[in-house]
Amino acid sequence: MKKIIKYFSGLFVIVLSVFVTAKNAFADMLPPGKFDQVPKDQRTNFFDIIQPQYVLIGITIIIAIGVSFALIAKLREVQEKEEIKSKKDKKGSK
Amino acid sequence: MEKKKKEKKPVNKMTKDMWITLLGYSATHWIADMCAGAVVMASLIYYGYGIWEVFILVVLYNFLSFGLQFMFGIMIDKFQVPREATVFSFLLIGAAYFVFDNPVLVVLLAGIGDSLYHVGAGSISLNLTPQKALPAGIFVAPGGIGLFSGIIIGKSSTIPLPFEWGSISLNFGPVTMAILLGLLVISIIFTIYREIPEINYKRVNTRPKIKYYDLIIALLLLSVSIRSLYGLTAGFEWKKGFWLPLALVTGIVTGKAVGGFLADKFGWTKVAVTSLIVAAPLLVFCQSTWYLAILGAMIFQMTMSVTLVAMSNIFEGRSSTAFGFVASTLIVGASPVYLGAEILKPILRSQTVMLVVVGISAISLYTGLRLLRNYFRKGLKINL
Repeated sequence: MKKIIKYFSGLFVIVLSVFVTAKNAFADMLPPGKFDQVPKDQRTNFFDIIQPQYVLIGITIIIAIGVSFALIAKLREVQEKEEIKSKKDKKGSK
Repeated sequence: MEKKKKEKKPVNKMTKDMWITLLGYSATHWIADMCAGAVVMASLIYYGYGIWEVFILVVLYNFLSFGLQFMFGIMIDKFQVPREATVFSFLLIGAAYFVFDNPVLVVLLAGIGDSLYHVGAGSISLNLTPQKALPAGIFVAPGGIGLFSGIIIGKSSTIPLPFEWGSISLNFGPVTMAILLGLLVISIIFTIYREIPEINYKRVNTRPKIKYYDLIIALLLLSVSIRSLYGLTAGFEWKKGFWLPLALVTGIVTGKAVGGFLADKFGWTKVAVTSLIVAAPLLVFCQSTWYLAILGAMIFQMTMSVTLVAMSNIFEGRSSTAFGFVASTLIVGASPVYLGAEILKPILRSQTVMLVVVGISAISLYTGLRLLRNYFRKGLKINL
C-alpha cells in the first residue's frame, strides 16, 4: 500500500510539474485559449482568492473528519468489547 | 457439462433488498452532486466573480472533490466507517448552503463533502455484490446528471421546453435552497436507516498475492487517466443550449449504467475493450454529428464500472481505497488540461493523436485485465 501511495503521489507531482513547465515554456507560441483571453495583468493571484485562512479551514475540516472517524472506530470497538463481555457474563451466571 | 454450467452461474446475485439499497444510493449520488454543484455555481454567480476567478474556483472544487477521494478512501477503510462518511458528506454539503455568500468556503465545504460522499457510498455500493460490475455502473451513473442539474439550478436558468410549450424558470432562491436541503436530509435518513452490506475488511490479510500487482494497478489507472484527459479535450461544437448537453449527459449516464450490466453478461475484458475500440472512431471521425458523438460518448463510458470493480477486487477488503484511487486518477488525467489549458487541446484534437490516445487506453486496459485473469480464476468467480 505504501508503495502504491508513493507511486501515485509521484505520478501526480510529475504530471503537474511537466505541464506547468510546458505551459510556461510554450505559452507564447500557442494560440490564445478561452482563459487566456483574460489579460495577465487582470488575473487575480491564486493566493488572493484562496487566502491563508481558507487553507487553514480546509486542513482543519480534513483533520476533524479524520479525528471523528478515529473516535467512531474507537467507540465501536469499546461497544463491541462490552457486548462480548456482557454475553460472557450472562453465560457465566447461567 | 454440469461443471461448466456451474462455473457460468452468476455469483452474488442481486436480491430485491440489494436493488433497493443500490437504487437508493444511486439516487443519493444524484442528490449529492446536484446539491454540491448548485450551491457552488450559485455562490460564484451571486458573488459576481469574473471568468478567471470562476475558473480557479471550479478547478479547486474539482481537485478537492476528486483529488481527496484517494486520501478519504484510505481513512474510511482504516476506520471502517463508510456509512458515517456518507452522512458527514451530506452534512458538509448542507453546511455550504449556510455560508452561501462566501464562495471559497462554499467550494471547500461542498468539494470536501462531495469527495467524502463518493468513497463512502461508493464502497457500500461496490460491496453489495463485490464480484459484479453492475452495482458499480448503477451507482456511478447518476453523478453526471446530478452535476448537470446542479449547474442548471445554480445558474438560475430558464429551460426551454420543446414544441413551443414555453419555458421553465429555475431560480436559486430560498425555496430552491429549502428543497435541496430537504433532499439532503432525506439522504441522511436513508443512509442512517438503510441496512448496508457487510464489508469484509479482514479479506485484506487473507488475499492471495497477485503477480504483477503494481503493473496491473498502473495499467488500469493509466487507462482511466487517459480517458479523463480525452473526455476533457473532446470539443463538441454542437454542445450548446439545453437539450443537446442534456442528451450528451444522458448518453454518458446510460453508458455507465449499461456498461456494468453488459460486462457481467459478456465478460469484463470483452465489453471494456470493445467499447473503447467502437467508441474511438465515433468520437474521432463523427465529432461534429451530435447523435453519433453522443453514441460514441455513451459507449466510451462503458468501461468505468469495469475499471472500478476490477480495482475493488484487486484491493480486496479495501473498496473505498480502490474507489478513491480511480476517482483521484481522473483528476490526474484532467490536470494537464486544467493547468496547460489550451496547450494540449489543439494537439489532442488532431484525429491521429486521438486514435493513438484511445488506443493506448484500450491496450493498457486489456493488458491489465488479462494479467488479472489468472488471479481471479484461482480465487474469485468473475466473468472476465
